[in-house]
Amino acid sequence: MKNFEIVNYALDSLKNKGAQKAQCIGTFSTTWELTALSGNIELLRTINDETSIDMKGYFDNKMGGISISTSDLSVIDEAAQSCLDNSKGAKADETPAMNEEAVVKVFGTPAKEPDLEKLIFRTNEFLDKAREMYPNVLIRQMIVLYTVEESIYKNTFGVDITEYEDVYSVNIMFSGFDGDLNSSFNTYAFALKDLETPIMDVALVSKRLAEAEKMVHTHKYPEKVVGAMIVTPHCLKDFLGQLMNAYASPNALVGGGSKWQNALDTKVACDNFSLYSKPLDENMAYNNHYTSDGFIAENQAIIENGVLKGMFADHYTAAKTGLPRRKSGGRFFVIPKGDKTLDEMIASVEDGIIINRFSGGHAGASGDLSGISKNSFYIKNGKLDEAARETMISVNLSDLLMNIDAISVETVNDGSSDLPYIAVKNVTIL
Amino acid sequence: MNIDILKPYLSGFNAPTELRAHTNYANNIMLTQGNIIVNSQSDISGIFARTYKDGIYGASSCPGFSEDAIKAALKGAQQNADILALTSKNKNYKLPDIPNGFMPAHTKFVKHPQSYLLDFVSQLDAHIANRYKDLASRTVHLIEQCTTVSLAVTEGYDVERVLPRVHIKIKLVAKDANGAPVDITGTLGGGGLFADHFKNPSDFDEQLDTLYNMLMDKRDGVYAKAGEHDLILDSALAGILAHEAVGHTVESDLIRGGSIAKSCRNQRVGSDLVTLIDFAHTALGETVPLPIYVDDEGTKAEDVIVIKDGILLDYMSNRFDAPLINTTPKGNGRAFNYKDEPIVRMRNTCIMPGKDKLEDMIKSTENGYYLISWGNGQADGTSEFMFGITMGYEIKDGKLGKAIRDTTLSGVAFDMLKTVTMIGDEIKWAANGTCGKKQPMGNAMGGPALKCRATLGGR
Repeated sequence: MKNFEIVNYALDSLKNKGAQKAQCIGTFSTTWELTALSGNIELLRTINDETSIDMKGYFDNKMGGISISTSDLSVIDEAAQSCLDNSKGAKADETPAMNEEAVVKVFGTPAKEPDLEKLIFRTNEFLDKAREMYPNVLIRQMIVLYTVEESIYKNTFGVDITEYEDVYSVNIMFSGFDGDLNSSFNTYAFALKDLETPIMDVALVSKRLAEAEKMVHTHKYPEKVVGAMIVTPHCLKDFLGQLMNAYASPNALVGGGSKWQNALDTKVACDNFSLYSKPLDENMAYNNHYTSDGFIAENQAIIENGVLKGMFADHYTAAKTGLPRRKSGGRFFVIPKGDKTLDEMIASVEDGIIINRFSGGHAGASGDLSGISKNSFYIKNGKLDEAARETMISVNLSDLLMNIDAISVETVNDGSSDLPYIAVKNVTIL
Repeated sequence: MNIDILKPYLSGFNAPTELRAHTNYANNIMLTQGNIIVNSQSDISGIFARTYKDGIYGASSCPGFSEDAIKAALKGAQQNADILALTSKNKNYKLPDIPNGFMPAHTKFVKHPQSYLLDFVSQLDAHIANRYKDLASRTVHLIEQCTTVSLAVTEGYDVERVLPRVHIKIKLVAKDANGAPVDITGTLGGGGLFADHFKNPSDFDEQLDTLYNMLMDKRDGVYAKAGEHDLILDSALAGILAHEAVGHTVESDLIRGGSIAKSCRNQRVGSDLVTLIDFAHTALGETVPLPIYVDDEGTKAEDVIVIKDGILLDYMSNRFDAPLINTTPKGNGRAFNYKDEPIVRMRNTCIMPGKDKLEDMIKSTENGYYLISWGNGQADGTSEFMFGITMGYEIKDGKLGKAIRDTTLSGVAFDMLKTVTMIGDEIKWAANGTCGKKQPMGNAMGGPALKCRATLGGR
């Protein structure tokens, strides 16, 4: 049975149980994964035919859902019955929760088989180069994946979307060392369309390893400073995730308690700051062509020239709150480049820090956020100073956006985002 | 699927090989403002096989429990081992011996109809809405999970395991004087079955009142003063301290990767008052929240005494790593999902209780903070740690003062534990947490209240 027939079967099964409205998302993938620990590959794992079928049915406007991991038809039939059973205790809710306009689309083509030899070669090549070029850096863990995926969305309104994707993902954890002394763990993760480029030459990999060697001997400034924080692109991605989760996600918006609930078309950031979610950007290693409620995904402005232009209210949240429906399913953040080089940004900081990793709490509804700046260097009088130890950063996400002082001309594409360095003023550094 | 079905497929495998049938079952129900946002179940099942050859592992997984899935997983594991062994750099490395045996399951999972669970959550939500009229928003989120495993091995213990847990998270949001949202989250439940924890929604009035009152205090809260302070960590925080600040630092993969704990063995890392144990299945005469009798590598589980009277004694390890870090495998190799390989994980990690009363600990603090609940935490190989603090109070002249807004606690564990001067006499366990180290594994953590010094974020 082909994958689209399995999803059809699941949708029909829900209808046969009495669902007036229903949607099914089937995801079918195979992943090949290499894991290296302490510099040597120790595992080759294949996750064959990983299947996820998410079924959601509405029975007299009462919703029931289930997720199963097999395409066995008898299990699908049982799952449809569970959806019906699950809906029985639910309160009827007529709010629309999925695309109700028919659309049929296919994105991409079925992917190729992996070149396991090349996967192993590129991984060993990187591990050997790292040992040779950065003898004082230990690659603690490296995970290299190749995933091929077919994803199918269907609902009872005639929405029928199929997406084929294949992507390489690399996640490296490393630390510098000097005898028994070690630096804090660094991590660097990115996605690739292919393995044509040696991993050492991708994005900021080499720069990050070189920095790790300088992070073994750390220092802590004795006094609190209210100064500038330069956020690196990979760290900025974490801050953006916190921002969206606290202010712009369906969960933040549906309860009515988000700080951005009534902020559309108002100023929420500095004039020089724009933020987009671009799931269709062809420069990304992979794309996301549809949302989880069955709409064709589009690139979306979140903030343009400091003004809030869009959030991630799904169809249900939009109908509940009156907010516009999201165009993008989320993530794939892009911030246009600014007008200063990173060196110029550092040179303009009298007292501050450049932060590579943020180890902190989750921002709540207030946007208050504090945490430890990891893998970071102090900046003093316009120059990089010592590596920072146990240095706490305290910000509020709303203030952070309003206090952006500079954006770099350099941007870094990690396969699922394209971001610059940004400098933020008035940050409490302790 | 039981062991008797799996075991025959291992005949012909002479190398260390594992064959695992694994199901993760979950119920997920979330109501926000009474609206059902999530009402779903998941049932993720499949076969995992792993075989060892010349210093490397080959592994493979397939969904479902069919004979084809079992055969394909075993064949894939062998093929991957054969491919990777060609470039292995540890061809002569041998895994340590482990004892053989069989361990049956210690409990059964009782499924409730989703409608029963939804009814309970709806009643609890209505109860909260009626009891606390001035909330800006409320969310009630139930997650019931059960992992069922049958593991057959060529070396070690075969095991059947059923490991349920359930919790309900309650998030309350209020507006402060400026109209800005302030939130707090509390958790009910723990290891075991739904019926072990939940009978009537009104049974939780005391906990709900405490949560609501703390939110009202937090609404008028102040920012903590950034810097190092005398702190009283509530027993609810001791568990995350055990897990994040110390536990990760002594996991064998981190030790191999340069954790500071590598050079601290048999050295003082805490005050005499500090003893920390990763329990396998029984602590202080009682079954722990998430008991592990045999891990997912077939190693019979034992406690790991990590710190005793302030001295670092041992590490947590899987079978592969144990000889490399001069210890023995004690059952810390755990896999989250059917597709996952076992990696080094904590089980029930706990700081042992002392003799002090919480009230006396607060009274003994002239200026500082009493920290009550946390949102998340992270660790580092340097033993630097951080926890997001979601509720706490100032302490002034031995008495509780104003509530504080969300902040972050940080420190260097092996320095901070040396500042522990008082330890409470009551342990609290939490079994609702999920550790995100590669796989989102459920862990239990526990401990008593502690008096110590560490750094708070703030203004």
